[in-house]
Order: sequence, then C-alpha cells, then structure tokens
Amino acid sequence: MKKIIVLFLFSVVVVPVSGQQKHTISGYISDASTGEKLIGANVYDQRTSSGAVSNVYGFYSLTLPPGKVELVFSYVGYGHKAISFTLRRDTVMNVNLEQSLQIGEVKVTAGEARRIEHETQMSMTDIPIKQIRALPSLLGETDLLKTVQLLPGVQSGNEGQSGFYVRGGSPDQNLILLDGVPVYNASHLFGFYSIFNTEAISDVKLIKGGFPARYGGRLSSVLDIRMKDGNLREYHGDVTLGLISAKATVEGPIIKDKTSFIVSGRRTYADFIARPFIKKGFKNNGEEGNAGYYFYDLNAKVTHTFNSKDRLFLSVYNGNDRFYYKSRYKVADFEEKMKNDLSWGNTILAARWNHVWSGKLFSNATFTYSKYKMGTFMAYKYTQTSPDTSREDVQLEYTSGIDDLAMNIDFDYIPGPSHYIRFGIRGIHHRFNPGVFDFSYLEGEENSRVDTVIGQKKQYAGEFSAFLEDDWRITDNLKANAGLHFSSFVTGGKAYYSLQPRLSVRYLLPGDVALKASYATMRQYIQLLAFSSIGLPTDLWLPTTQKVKPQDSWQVAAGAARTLGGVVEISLEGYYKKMHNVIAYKEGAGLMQFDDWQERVTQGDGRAYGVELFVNKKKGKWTGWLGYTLAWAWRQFDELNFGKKFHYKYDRRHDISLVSVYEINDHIHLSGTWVYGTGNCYTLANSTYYGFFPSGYPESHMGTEINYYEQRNNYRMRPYHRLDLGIDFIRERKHWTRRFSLGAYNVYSRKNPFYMNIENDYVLNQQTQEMELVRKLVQYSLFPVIPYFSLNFHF
Amino acid sequence: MKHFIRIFLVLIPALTSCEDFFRTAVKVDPPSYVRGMVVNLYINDSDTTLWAMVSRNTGSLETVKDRQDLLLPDAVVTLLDEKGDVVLVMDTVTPADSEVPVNFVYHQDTAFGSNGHRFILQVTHPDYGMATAVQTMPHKPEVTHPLFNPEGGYDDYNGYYGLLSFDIKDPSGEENYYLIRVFVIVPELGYAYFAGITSDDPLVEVSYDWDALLIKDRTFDGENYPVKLKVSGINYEGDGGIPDNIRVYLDISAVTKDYYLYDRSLEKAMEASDLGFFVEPVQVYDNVQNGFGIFTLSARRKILAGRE
Repeated sequence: MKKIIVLFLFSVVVVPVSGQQKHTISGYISDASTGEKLIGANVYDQRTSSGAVSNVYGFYSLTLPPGKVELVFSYVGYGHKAISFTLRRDTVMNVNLEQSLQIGEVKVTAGEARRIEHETQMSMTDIPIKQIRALPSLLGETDLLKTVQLLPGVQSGNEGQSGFYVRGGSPDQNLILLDGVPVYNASHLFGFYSIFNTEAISDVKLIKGGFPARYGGRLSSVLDIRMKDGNLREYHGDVTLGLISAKATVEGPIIKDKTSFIVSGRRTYADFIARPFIKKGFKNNGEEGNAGYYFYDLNAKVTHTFNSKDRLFLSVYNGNDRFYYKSRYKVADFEEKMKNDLSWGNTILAARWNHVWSGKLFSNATFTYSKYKMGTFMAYKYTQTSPDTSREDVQLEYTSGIDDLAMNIDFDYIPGPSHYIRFGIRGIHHRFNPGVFDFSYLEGEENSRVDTVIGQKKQYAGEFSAFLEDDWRITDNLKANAGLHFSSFVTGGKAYYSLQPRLSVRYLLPGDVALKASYATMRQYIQLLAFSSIGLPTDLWLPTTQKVKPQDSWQVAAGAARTLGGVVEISLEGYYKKMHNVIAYKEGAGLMQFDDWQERVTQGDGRAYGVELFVNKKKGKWTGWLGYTLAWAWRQFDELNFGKKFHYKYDRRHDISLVSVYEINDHIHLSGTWVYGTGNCYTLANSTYYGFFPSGYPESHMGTEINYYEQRNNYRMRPYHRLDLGIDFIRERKHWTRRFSLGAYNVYSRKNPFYMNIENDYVLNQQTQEMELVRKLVQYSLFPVIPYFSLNFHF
Repeated sequence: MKHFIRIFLVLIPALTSCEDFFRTAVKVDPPSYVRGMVVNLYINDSDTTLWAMVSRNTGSLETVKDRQDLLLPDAVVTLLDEKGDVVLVMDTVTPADSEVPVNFVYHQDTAFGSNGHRFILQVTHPDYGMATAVQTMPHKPEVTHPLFNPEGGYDDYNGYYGLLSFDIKDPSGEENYYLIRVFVIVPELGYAYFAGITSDDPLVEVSYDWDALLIKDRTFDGENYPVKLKVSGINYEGDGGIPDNIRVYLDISAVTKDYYLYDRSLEKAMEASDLGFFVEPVQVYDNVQNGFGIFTLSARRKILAGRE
C-alpha cells in the first residue's frame, strides 16, 4: 500500500513539473450581463486540442506551448467566444460570455461546452436550475430535491417527501452542501418541501458514485449546491406569489463590478390567511387563542473582489418551521392557559476567501458554522382564586440538535494540460445534543416548584480530513481521476481513522463513446436516527462512539456514455455497493426514552446493485430527460428479522422518470413529468394469533391479539405513478417579465399508496342484511389531483 | 389564457370530489403463513389451578367472528419433568369467558411448587405437529422485610401515595428477573385489589400489566438492591392519610427470562401498533417450538409490609 501511495504522489507532483517551457493562461469566466462566475465553463485551444474547465468559483487555467493560440470559450446556454492571439508569457484573461437568446436550431461546434464522454467523472448529473424552475410541482413550489428525485438511481421516499435515497442508501448518507457547508435537515413541513430557494441557486450537481477524493463524510451521494453571488452590474429582483408561499429575491452591485449582494426570502402565508378564522373558532368555544404553522427561508450573500487575485464571500442561511398553539380560557375566578410550540430549523454562516497564487495555483479557504435545532415546548397554567386559591404551572421543553464549527482550505493546482490537482484539509468541531427534557412543575406555593432536567449529555467530537486528487489525462483517449481521502474522528476518548482510495477511469473509443469505470470507498462518522419512515424534525443526528462504529462503504461502477448530435447525452451505468455498520433502531425502541441512545440502536450491513439509463437533451426548444433504473437494495442486521437479510424499505425494482419542457414560443412554455416506480416495501403480518396475559388476580387474564411477522418488508405497496403538467405564460416588457404558471400535480388523481394497515371494518352482508366485521388491508393515500398557480415578476 | 383558467376551475371540483380517495381497501393475495398451534400457559409456584389456552393461528387478513372458533379442544396438553416423566395432563374445559377463552385446566390440592425444577410442555393435536416449550421454575425471590410509610405525598394527578421500600437479595451468577405488585386489603371494602405502583428508579420498567413493575438484575447481580415504590390508589380519608387498618402486601415474583422478553415485546408491539406508520412493527417474543405462544413459570412471594 505504501509503495502505491509513493508512486501516486510521484506521478502527481514530480512528473508534471518536468517538460518543455510553457505558459499559462488563467482567469475567470463570467456572465456578461450579471458578472456571475460560470461553473464548469469550457475553454479549448483549437490549435493544440487542449482544454480546461472552470472550477466552482469560475476560475480556469490552461497551460500551452508558446505561439499562436485559438481559444474558444463556451458554456451551456451561452454564446461562444473565440479569441486568437500569440502566447508569449503567462497571461491573465478574464472572459465574459453572453447568454444565448436563440431558440430552435442548435449549432454544434468544436470545443462545445463539456460533453459527458469527455468527463472522467461518472455517476454525476448537472441539474440545470432553469429546468428545476420550469417543472410542475406540488402546490406550485418548485423544489430542488423533488427534481433530484427524478434522476436515475435516486428514489423518493414516501409520497410527497423531499428526502432522497441514492443507490440503496438512506437519506442521512447524502452529503448536502450549500456553498460547501453541510446541511443537516434539508426539509420543511415534515419533508414535503426542501429548504432550498431555487431563486438564489446557480448550480446543482449530484454525484452518486466514483466520488472524487475532495468529498467525504457520507456514503451514498454528494449534492453540491452553489448559491448565486449576486449581479455585479445591475439591480434585479424577483417576486413570486404561489398557493402557499411568497418569495422575493433582490440582487445587485454594492460597488459596480466589485461588490455584489443577493438576498432571497420565502415564507408561507396560510397562517395569516387562516388567522381570523382560527381566532373565531376559539371564540365560539368561549376561549381566546390562535394556532397555525409556517416556514420561512432567508438566504443572503455578499461577494467582494479586492483585486484580480482575491475575492471574499460572506453568506448566511436561516430557515425555520414552526407549529404553534395557544389558548386562554377565563371565567369568573378561574383561568386556564395552554401553549404548545414545535419548531425546527437550520442556521448556516460561511466566510470564504479565494486567492489566486499564480496562473496555476488557486486556493479557497472557508470558515463555517452550521446548526440544526429542534425544540418543542408545552406549558399549562391554571389559577383559581375562589372559593379556594389554587394554581398549577407545568412546563415541558425538549430540545435536540447539532452544531458544527469548521475550517477548511483547498487548492487547485494546474501544472499543465494533463493534470488538474486538488488537495486540501478540513477540520470540524461537532457538538451533538441527543435530546434533553427540561421539566418544571409548580402546584400551590412557589416554594413547592419541581424543576428537573432529564436527558443525555451533549457530546463533542472532532473530525479532520485531508485529500489529494489528480484529474490526469494519460493519453488523448485515456483519462483518470485518482485520489486519496484521509479522515479521522475523535470522540469520547475514542479515535477512528480511515484512508479511502478513489479512482475513476475513462477511455474514449472511436465514435466518441466513452467507457467509464470507478471505485470508491467512503466512511461516515455521523448518522441520522430516524424514528419513523417519514422525515420528522425529531430525527436525531448522532456521532460515532465507542459502541456505535462508523459506517463504511465501497462501490464499483462501470458504464458507457455518448452525446448524440451534440445535444442528447446517453449514459448507461451499472453499480454494486456494499455498506457496513448501517444503523437502525432496535425493535420497539422509542424516540423519547431516557436511556442511552446507543442502547436503542443496532448496526448491520447493506448491499445495493443495479443498472441506470439516462437520456438527457439539454438544448433546443424541447429539453428533458428519460431516466430508468433497475435496482435491488438489501439490509441485514443480526438483531432484526431473526438475523436474515431483508429488502430495504425503499427497494424499488423499477424506477422511470420522464421529464419534458417544451418552449412553444417566447410566451408559452409547457412542462410535464411522469414517474413510475415499483411500490415500496412494507411489513405485513403473515398471521395473527390470540394470547392472554395473567393479570395477577386469581383466574383472571387479559386477552390480546398478536401479529406474527415472518419477514420484515415482506410485501410491496402498489406501484407508484403520477403525471404532473404545467404551463407558463410569459410576458416580457422593457423593465419586467411576468410569468403566470398554471398546473396540476397528479393529474389523473392516482391513488398512490402512502401507508398500509390491516384494519377491522364493518360491512353490510347483503344476504343477512346485518353489519359484520371484516378484516381488510387498507391503503392510505395522500395527494389527489392538486392544481396550482403562481405569479412571478422579474425586474 | 382566460380559457385555460375557466377549464381549470371546472375541473377542480370534478376531479377532487372523490371522498374515498384517501382510504381505500386493497385486494391482495393473503400472505402465506405457517399454520400452527398457539399455546399460552403460565404457572406460578403458588398455583393450585393451572389454566391454558390452546388455539390455532389465522391469516392476518382472515376475519375471525368468534375467538372460540379458533380453539383446539382436541389438543392434549402434557407437562413432563426433566427426565421425561409425565407430571400432569390438563383437562379440556368449556371456556367461561368468551373474551379470554382458556380451554384447558388442571386442579391439584397442593401448590405447584417445584422450584428449581425443569419442565417440558408438550402439546399434540391430530392436525398439527407437536409443539413444545421448556422452562425452569425459578426459586422464590428473597427480600428484606418491606416497610410501608403512609406519609408519601401527592402525585402529578393529585393522587395521594404512600411509600413502600424493601431490598431484593439477588442470588449471584445467574440472570434474575422480578415482577412486582402491591396489593391492598381494606377491611371495610371486604376485598383486595392491586394498587398503582410507580418508581423513580430508571431500572424499573412498567409491565404490560400496568399494575406491575419489572426489574432485571443487570446492574446488581448477587447484591442487595434497594427498591422504593410509590403506592397510589389506596383508600384514604379526607385530604390525605391512609387509615391504619389498611394492609399493604408486597407481591413479588421471580419470573423467567422468557416471561420478561414476552412482556417487554408485547408492550412495545402494542405501542408500535398505536403509532402506525411512524414505526416499524415489533415482533412479539414467543418460546413455543413448532408453534406460537408462551409457556412460562414464576415463583411468588407475598409479604405483609410493616408500617413505618
């Protein structure tokens, strides 16, 4: 192993340094109208056929031999820019690209924005923000995570949920990054919506396998979300009114071409609208009170360019969900008050500094704070002054959550056209709050108050990681991305270490067909204890400990990819993944128990394998994709299901997504999605028997019906399928654009299963005309056809 | 665009008028299952009458109109000792209670006793393979003399409670499980009843039978372990106080591990059933081979508590 590491380091560091004298062209590629940096833009020299791609901050570097160069800069949705000159020295060249307004004919030229067959990275999808905004959605709320669920290899969980399951993994195995900061609970309203406001987002990338070494900490996927920096040239805004929420975004220059800002907010308003009716309801019952629910998101970012070498970013996200209820009942000398509150939310702060050391070396240093907190509060107060004086005052508060303080620095070193080297280090201080009850009770006199705190102590942990990776063009046809990711985790006196090799290889066959293969090992030190099969805010993030081991996985994947006609990407991929120490609640373990959470969980293995087909048309009047997945996912725990392996709950054999956006003209756009999936697994009792239990009294017993389960997840719900349609009416004026969106979720009102239960029901016996008890399997569905509309103004 | 809106407004009520959308009975092939006998037999060393229920299981989607239809009166229920000699054969009886139709009984003049002895239950029936279970009768639990303090206080529900304290003398080198009840005799009422008992000790668990508490010797093997109970629901006069003539008894049984596992899993299964889709269902523990149900033994001790 040591020899391999030395050889790798030699090839990465030493070899690229040697060779003939060359010069480097570097700089930023930006949007001409907004100044936003373009991620993944392509620069290509037509003379030497060498190329480069801009990084996540829009920086590119291309080293070429001196002499005449013919550079073509390109990016999807933008016009090309060609620049010819004679290269004599290292040159800084910042380029602005104009957005392409042309629809209809799609021109393909050499050096076209990067194609799937040119990428070494496999199992990755760039999700175009424009398409996310165009797709029909539940109640008109465009949702990033719901769009991610439409990709092959990604399962949605239950109906309407925004949690996603990638290649047999669980939702906590997805590393969701917002500008490089991990997000712990990415959903509102029990998982029906994600926290991401699409108006503030510029780029989204999902990686399901072949993970580059710069990523770590989760087993199954990386969802890398980048926020916009803000328009450096002009002020613009966006206001959207939908069925359940209102959104507004404002961006613009603070100092033109130097400092920009973007602020984006969203809030539901159903509670405002319902408030008078709810208050009236309380009044009709002789009480005063109010109740409701809302959620909000707020994103803000400031970007400042000091000079050509230094840029600073400051960003903040704050979002919260809240259920509230309060009431007051007063009559004569008696008063009773009640208050219930449930809230949960994230706060993320990030400061980032980009520095260009030279045309070949770029760095990014980040300081971040990320917090997720859930709290529930209940208070009851009762006072009586006559005929006797009495009072009671009960308060109960429960909180749980996780805080992270992190610092990282990473470098992009591009010594030449054949190597793109990345390396960096990261440190995180975690603070876990597994759940604390604070209970206070007073009856009568103040000096009889009882105050007690029950729960588990906060736990602290330190996580450190380092990585080194090289995107290496070995020959014109053979490319590889090889890397090492090292991680360590220290908590409670126990330290864990892991060295994770990563390798992706691409070989280009004649006819521009790419064969790709990858191998990646991953380790995860924190896990989500989900009490239920739906996303609840009470789901707990907890660390690896002495008793609970880190989760590990390894995954191999292989496939082929090609772009047809320059516009349609086709990829076919197979994968096999094994996971160790995946976590689950023991049978019967409860959420709010006071014993150590480590005693409530068990660890086991997971296995997943499958094939994915993805056909994606990214350009033209009609865009969209077809995704198909054939997959299996298993779990095995010694303490569950008698130690036998069983289907993972979200083992969905077939999964089809058809997504389409069609621009009839500049004023009318149509969109539609159709999804089909084999039903999720659930556990149905095979048989029932009757038992009794001695009560302690002589010859007296209690009877009870007992279900017997021969196998966990032994049944499948009915297949899930759904059609969503939408239409946008666009009107453009000189200073504003109005978009009126109309659509429907679940157009043919398919009764998709959400939950199954065996229930006793009374039905009329037609022969005897008597009601008789019948046992049935009952399916609960959630969403029938739900129309929506929304109005958007862009100015 | 106006036409589109009009069409939508017409479609909305038409498409959303389905009241039974959210809850639908689904036809599925009934799950296959292993047919077997279900045996429930609890024996306490103080018992002179033993009760058992032998029935059959049914498919989870099979409607059962009357539980008595599931009984197997043709079964033969035999208890053997560790040598394989027959100790007793239970008699069939017509169930008196349709809710809990026990259908086998055995009477003897003396208490069952046999502490420390191993027993094998065999149940045979012409339509099923033989079902068996094995248990060892625990020894009676040893405790220090319990003391009852009538001056406890008021609980969260404004109920008055007294305090009962005693030590469990746990034998070392083996796993021991204890089931604790407290019963009260009120002379004026003329009968005894089980009082509500709670404990602040986190090791003490509430049994499926809410009148009882369970504790296992995981942290006090071979030691004297102090137990303090709050005893509520005791008759009192006026604003508090417990009459002097009330007699409080500690009723403590040493139960087998199978009893403990059955009790705990039953409690959790019922809880999971109430929570519905929020949790995975829980498998109830059973110790009958080639069948279902529970056979368990316990050794009981009742002690009148002294007054503090």
